[in-house]
Amino acid sequence: MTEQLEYRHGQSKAVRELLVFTLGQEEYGIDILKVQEIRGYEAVTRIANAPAFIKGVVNLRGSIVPIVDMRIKFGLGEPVYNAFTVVIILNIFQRTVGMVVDGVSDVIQLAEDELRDPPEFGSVVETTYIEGLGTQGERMVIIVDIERLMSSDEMALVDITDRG
Amino acid sequence: MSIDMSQFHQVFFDETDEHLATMESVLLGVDLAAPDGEDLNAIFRAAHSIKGGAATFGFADLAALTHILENLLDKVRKGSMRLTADMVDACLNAKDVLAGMLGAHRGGEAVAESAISAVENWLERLVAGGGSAPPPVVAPVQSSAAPAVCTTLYVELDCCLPTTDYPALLQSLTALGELSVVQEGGGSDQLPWVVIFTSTLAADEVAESLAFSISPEHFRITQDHGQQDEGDFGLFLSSSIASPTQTAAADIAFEEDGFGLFEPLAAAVGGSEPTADMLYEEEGFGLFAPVAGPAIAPVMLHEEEGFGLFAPLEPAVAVAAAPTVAVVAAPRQERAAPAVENSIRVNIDKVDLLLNLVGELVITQSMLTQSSQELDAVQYERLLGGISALQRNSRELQEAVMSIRMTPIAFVFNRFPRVVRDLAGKLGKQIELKMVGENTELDKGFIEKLADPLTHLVRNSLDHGVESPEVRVAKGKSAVGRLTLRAFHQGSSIVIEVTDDGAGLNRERILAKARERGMPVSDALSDSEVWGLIFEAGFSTATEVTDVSGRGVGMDVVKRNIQSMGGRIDIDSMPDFGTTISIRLPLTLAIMDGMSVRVGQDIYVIPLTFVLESLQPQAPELKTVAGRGQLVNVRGQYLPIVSLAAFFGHVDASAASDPTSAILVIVEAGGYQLALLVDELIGQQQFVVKNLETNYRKVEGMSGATIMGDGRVALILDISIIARHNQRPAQTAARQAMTDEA
Repeated sequence: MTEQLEYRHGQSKAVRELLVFTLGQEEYGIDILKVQEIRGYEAVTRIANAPAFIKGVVNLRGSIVPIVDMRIKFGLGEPVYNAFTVVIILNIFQRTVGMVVDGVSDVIQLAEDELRDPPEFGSVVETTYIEGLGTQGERMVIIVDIERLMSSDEMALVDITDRG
Repeated sequence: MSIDMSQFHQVFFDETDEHLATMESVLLGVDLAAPDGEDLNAIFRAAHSIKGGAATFGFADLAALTHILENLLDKVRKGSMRLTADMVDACLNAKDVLAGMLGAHRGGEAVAESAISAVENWLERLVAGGGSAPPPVVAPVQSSAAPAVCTTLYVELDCCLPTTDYPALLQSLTALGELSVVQEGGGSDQLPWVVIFTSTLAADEVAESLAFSISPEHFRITQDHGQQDEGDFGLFLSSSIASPTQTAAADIAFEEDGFGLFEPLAAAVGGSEPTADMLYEEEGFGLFAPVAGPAIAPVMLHEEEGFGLFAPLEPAVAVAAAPTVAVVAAPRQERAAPAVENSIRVNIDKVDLLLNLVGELVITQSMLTQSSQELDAVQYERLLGGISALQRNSRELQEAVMSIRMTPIAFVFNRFPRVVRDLAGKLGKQIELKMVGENTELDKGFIEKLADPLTHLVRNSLDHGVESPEVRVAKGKSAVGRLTLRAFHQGSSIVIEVTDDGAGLNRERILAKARERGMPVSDALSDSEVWGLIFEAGFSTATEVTDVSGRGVGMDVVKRNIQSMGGRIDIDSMPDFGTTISIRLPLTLAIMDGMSVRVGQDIYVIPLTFVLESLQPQAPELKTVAGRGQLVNVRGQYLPIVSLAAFFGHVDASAASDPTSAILVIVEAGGYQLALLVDELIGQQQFVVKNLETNYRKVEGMSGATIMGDGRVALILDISIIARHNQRPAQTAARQAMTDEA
């Protein structure tokens, strides 16, 4: 695919840089500026009475960081944890959150004309967090507003009282 | 010619804040009948420093008001006027106005001109009225020169009076002031006892107290005029010279390393002879022309490393050399103000960064310690020695760094003498405020957040708790209500209590109010549950909205504030006996002693302060109630067993099935004991407490997390929550639901 990995931000607002990860057969893109780092999966400390997709917390250089398994959350892909499992560490709403995905495929630059509106599925698929669809040739990347998704109530990552 | 002075304004503002706070606290503490000379000096110095700073930085309004204030204080200090309650009121008022002016310079709202002129007039009236000072409340003073400040007296006592116990007598004197024995009496020569006695008491007052134990013809008291005011820097001459003219002039004082050049006041008229008493102190040196009139503006005082050139009365102050950059709150050799420390101001972010780095260091160190444990002690002696030294050093470093963030709670408490004084006056109640444990330290972040909730609680206690004097007397209590603020450490928490000896909470009224609001309450609720109701939003038992409370900020806000700090608030109340509201706060980022336990595959940490003991239960000691609730008999006491595995919904713990193969950890929280069922005890060590909420949310039953030696995360149990859950699961859940709705 595109091998232009040089940073482009500031060049043109119309071009967005996205980190693409896979969940099952689907490709998702998130704003690369929200990504802090990509790590392997390490043993987590589970948290009692948390939803199944919250695997627990890990020690990330002294901070306690919750780990969300997107494969469980979206019901896609078989959650297998091994040396190749990828954790994307996100830096969103002044917090650090880890996200387990099947794999990270690449970083793409998406021009404005390659962006499509989010599809309508009625109530079949929750599309609130889908910003749009990125299309490059045959490829379709689902662009997720990761900040909004992670701070949503259903993710149970944030105290309800915190947002008063 | 001018340097941008604004860069120093912040320092001035901060210092003035401190000076105002000092002034207020000393004013509130001063004993009208016998004011301590050192206290009066402290107030004067605070006013003086503010005036000097204000004039330097061009805040003429501040300087003008402090000047009048200072005139008054100076007279009092030198004893030409007695301190009266009216003066204290005026000074407090002036302090408020000054604080307001300061706020205005910082960009806040301007203070009303009328308020300024009112307080100026008030002060001036007091200064003018000084010539014929109103007769003080205390017994009149014989010697006309008797100053209100420290007096040194020579006391001679005839010896060998058979009925007199000299040591006890002298002991009783030391309670009143400083005493040093010059000559011990008695012996073969029948020498009299000679002691030097320094106190605020005048000769006749000392005589009076002596006369209780020894008849007047057997002792003599002479006043020593040569040795006064040791804390006074020796600047101020004997109290007898305090005529207004000289007062103003004598104010030009240089202390310690201060030096400077002063020009005479251009505006001052009258060709009178220079009257200034020029005083040079220690390394101080300077040139100045005397001031010619009494009604004058800035008198400058330079402290410590301050130096400069000033031309007073010119709006823009000319500064040649670096101006007063006193980064440090003036450290002085005074006993009265231990709060004045040598300090620097540091951005709190830097401290936090340091704290985090040290936390990392401690974790790395414990990781090293753990991996070194398998090494052969003989072969790796040096390495192991180094690791244990590292352990000690990093622990000390961590404590030192943590202590940077810790601030005495006095910073919050200090506002309450004033709050209580004003409020008691407004409500027509008599209140005695007692503060205990002001030096208890807690995180600076808490200090700021605590002020509002505590103020609210204090106001509540005064308004609703403490009865009016008549009611109190009718109830057989003393007319003076007592309000106690207490702070102390309890384990890894800090507890702050607001206690009053007032009427207590009215159970019936609270229940009635709750019903009125349609809450599902029954008479069967326990007292503590009833008290808990007052934390509901919009719940106020005040029958009428007063100026003091009932203005919409309720206990629910207090509770929310405390909870947002990770704390808890509890109420204890007895009718006619009083109410205690205790706030329990965790010490953030503290190192905590804990016991790590294994539950299934998970490691949890139990704060050691809750742990009483641990034991392996034998089958005969285990009982059940109604087939489910398990109990363990610990030396005749039946304690409920809480399986942590079940509590956290884990299924892989073997302990859940067979307690006899597991360990029970007996914990106590909130006066309630229970046995936690765990698989294994791992060990006892110190843990760095990390906040779970930084990146995640609050987890029920957890007070935080920590990082173990192997780098993994372990969760720290919140024993008090677990205990409360166990006590009344249904009601806790119901209350939870109610607060969630609110």
